[in-house]
Amino acid sequence: MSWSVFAPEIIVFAVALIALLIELDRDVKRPWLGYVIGMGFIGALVADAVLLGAGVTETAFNGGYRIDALAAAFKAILLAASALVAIATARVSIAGAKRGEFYLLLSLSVLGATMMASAGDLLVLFLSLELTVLPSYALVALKRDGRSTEAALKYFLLGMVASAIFIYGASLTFGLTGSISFTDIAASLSRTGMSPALVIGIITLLAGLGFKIAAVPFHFWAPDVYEGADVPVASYLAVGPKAGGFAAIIRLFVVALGPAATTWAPLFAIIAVGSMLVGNLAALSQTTVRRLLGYSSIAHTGYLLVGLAVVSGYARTSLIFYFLVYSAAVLGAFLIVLAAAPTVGESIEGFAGLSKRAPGLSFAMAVFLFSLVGLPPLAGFIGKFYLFSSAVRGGMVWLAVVGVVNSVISFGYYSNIIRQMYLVKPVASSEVSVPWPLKATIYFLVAAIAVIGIYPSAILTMLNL
Amino acid sequence: MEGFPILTAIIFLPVLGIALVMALPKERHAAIRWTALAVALLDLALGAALVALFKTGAMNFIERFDWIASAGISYHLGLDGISMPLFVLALLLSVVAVVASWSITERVRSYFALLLLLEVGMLGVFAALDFVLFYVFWELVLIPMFFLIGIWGSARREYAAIKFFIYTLLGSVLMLVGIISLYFAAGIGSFDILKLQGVVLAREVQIVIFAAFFLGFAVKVPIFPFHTWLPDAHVEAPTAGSVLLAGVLLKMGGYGFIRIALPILPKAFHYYRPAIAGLAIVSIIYGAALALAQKDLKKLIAYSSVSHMGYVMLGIAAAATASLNGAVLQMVSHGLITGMLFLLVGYIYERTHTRQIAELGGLSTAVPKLAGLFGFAALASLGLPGMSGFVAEFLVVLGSYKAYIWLSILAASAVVLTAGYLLWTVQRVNFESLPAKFKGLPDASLREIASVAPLATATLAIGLYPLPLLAAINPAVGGIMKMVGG
Repeated sequence: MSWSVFAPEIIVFAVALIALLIELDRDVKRPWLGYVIGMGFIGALVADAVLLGAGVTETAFNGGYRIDALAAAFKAILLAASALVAIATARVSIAGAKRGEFYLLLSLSVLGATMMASAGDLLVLFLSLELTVLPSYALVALKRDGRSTEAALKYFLLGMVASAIFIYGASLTFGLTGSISFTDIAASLSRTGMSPALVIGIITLLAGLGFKIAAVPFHFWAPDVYEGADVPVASYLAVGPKAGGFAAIIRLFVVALGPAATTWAPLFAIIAVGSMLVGNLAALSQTTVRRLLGYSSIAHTGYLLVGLAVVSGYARTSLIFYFLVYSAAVLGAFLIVLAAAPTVGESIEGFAGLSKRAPGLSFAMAVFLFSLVGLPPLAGFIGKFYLFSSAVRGGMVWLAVVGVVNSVISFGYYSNIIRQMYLVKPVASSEVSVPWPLKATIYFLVAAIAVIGIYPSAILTMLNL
Repeated sequence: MEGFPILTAIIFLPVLGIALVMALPKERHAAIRWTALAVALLDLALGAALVALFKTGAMNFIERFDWIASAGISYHLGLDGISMPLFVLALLLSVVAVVASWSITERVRSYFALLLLLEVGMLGVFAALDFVLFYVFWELVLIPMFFLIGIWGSARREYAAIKFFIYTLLGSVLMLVGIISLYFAAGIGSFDILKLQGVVLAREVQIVIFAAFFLGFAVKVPIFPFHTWLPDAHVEAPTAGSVLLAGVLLKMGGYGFIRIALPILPKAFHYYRPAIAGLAIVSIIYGAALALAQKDLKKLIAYSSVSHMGYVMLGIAAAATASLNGAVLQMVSHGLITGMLFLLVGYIYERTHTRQIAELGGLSTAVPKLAGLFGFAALASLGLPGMSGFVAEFLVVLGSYKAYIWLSILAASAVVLTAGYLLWTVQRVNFESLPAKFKGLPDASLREIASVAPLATATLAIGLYPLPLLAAINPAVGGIMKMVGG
């Protein structure tokens, strides 16, 4: 094993150190720090892509750390999203914090999430999970106003409870199987079979990780956090910790608890349906864009979980692909809020007539929202197509029907924003000025969504879908 | 011409048009309009070339290459006698829609860009021979239509736009589940419509999948009781939107039944046939009865569409050679005639600012040309012999006689209702006394006449000499009949 397989993690760690050193030194007002951090993430992304392309499969530290296609795919999405966040925020003021502070916490959380994607035993998983969320709590609180403090406290308390529950489940599993390594747990499980205590173990592990991906009924923090945190932070949180969470769930349940799939797959089906319904129905009545996106992200967790409710490699790969297209669209939507909020505020009504004041931004937002609905020819369609195909293929047509009907419901609230932007007259006429790195990032995401939608083969081949 | 991807060129030429339109400065309304018109006309000219090159009895202009190879999704296009007339209809009505939109003054650039995008979707639906490609074009139509209704519509436009979108989206996503189920049930690893036509599925499987397709298509047609979005959408849509909605979008549903549901799921079709025939006759009579009761001209035409599309569905349900020929012909004919009616109502509205039948009257003295055209279109719509509607409805009634004698008789009798509401409307709009405020209204301009003329000519031409068109449709219908079975 060579150290080069850890290149993505090492580079991200170096990025964190750079941010730390600069933060110690002085408050950086200039945008170059964002570019440096962004380039760092891109460097890590390149390293990761090389590993993915070469098909490197390695196990390190007695099975505690795995480098394989699953990890590399999630890391790639995570690093790309983080790079875009860093570049997009280069010229945006970060409320209440020094710029270095923000990038330091961001890169530490990214480091945690990348490690989470590679975790091969329960302890590494737990440690990387904490490394992901602890900086996130601080990130949410950075804004230092009542809203963000409340959100951070809620996030922190619920998160700590979730971690405690996770540890409880991990210790149960360890006690019953005698190992913390995923492969050893699986081996032991297939020898001994299921026991009631193990069912409790599985449920508690699921609860702990369900919190990180904001699945119903562990979702209560998400709308508050997405709304309370500063926008740059929220845009990272919608993607980053979720990427780590999904990678960890796939590995933990499929690898370690694979022999118990008949126990957990129905649980995932229930949670998937619950998340879709609760997220979509609650989103219908929201009045601010970010809260709406918060609930919609819960619904999208529901769609993604279809990939676990159906136990097949095809379904899991569809999940990864959907995660990619979801991330692009939701990140884009948050960046639009970041771009527009200083001029028009964050209420949905503030977006009235935006298509006249900022045609480019409105068009981009429409693309993101239509992609989230899953309309062709945008990437979201291909994502949902594969995800629901996997449900039909796995004999769960009903789950596909629930999924597509929920997509229609989701149009009910996405159309609210589109309606305001395009069908309602503007209330003010002042121009919306947007820093160019942010604008460039937004248009890059629009292009990515269109290209993946029209020609998905490149990425599908990479994922072997 | 061999090897030239002419269908791709025609379908995506409007995309080039969008780029050109968007490149123009937004205040240059005239330049934008003329560019859009030039693109639509060029596309129609290419369409005329297609007609000249078309060989009956086969799939023409086939283009095929892998799109998402791993899932068996291909970019597969082609036209036969069923899709060809509808494809050309979409090309023609797109030109008409552009001409009819000359009076649009708000956000002109976006308007024509959306109109051209709509054209891409409409053309693609009729040419696609791969399920996923078909679905992509099918949905592509929704977004531009949503904005056309929502931005340029009348008073309750937002409500109508969202209702239209959600209804049709709900139908089509369920169809998507049907498509996916079909793919896995067939097990040949391909989404190719023609290949899937050769797969025989178990009856029970067919029945379930057919239900999904039925919902998708029935909402589009629309068949009673899935029609409630239509009057709202029509009333609020701008003139060009109504023309394309009634003229082309409704045909996508009927086309779906003929191209997909019948040949691929024949056993399920025979299972559902009586129900479809029943809903078709309800649509015919219920639509006509509601049309009789309408006070708003656009709503009246909207309900008359429900009634006329009922003939299409009856022709499909009867599944006889004559009735299927009639169904395809009726789709073309209804596209032409209803297109005309919506255009004329639009022009009347632009002058009088009302669509309430009670507020109109005596237009034949104020605007004789416009009123004359309106009378012509109404007569065509009620199925006057010598016009396309007569031939089509006659074939449907004749073809369904054997399978459903009573329904066939009912459908023939419903023409009385149709004649009733149309003649009564013409009387109230064209004749009776002219309200004083409408004196001195300008009559139809050259542009307006030019937009109606091709439709009127085609209606007459098909009505007087339907043979060439039927000669193209019939062999393709024969192919479908073989797959449907007795």
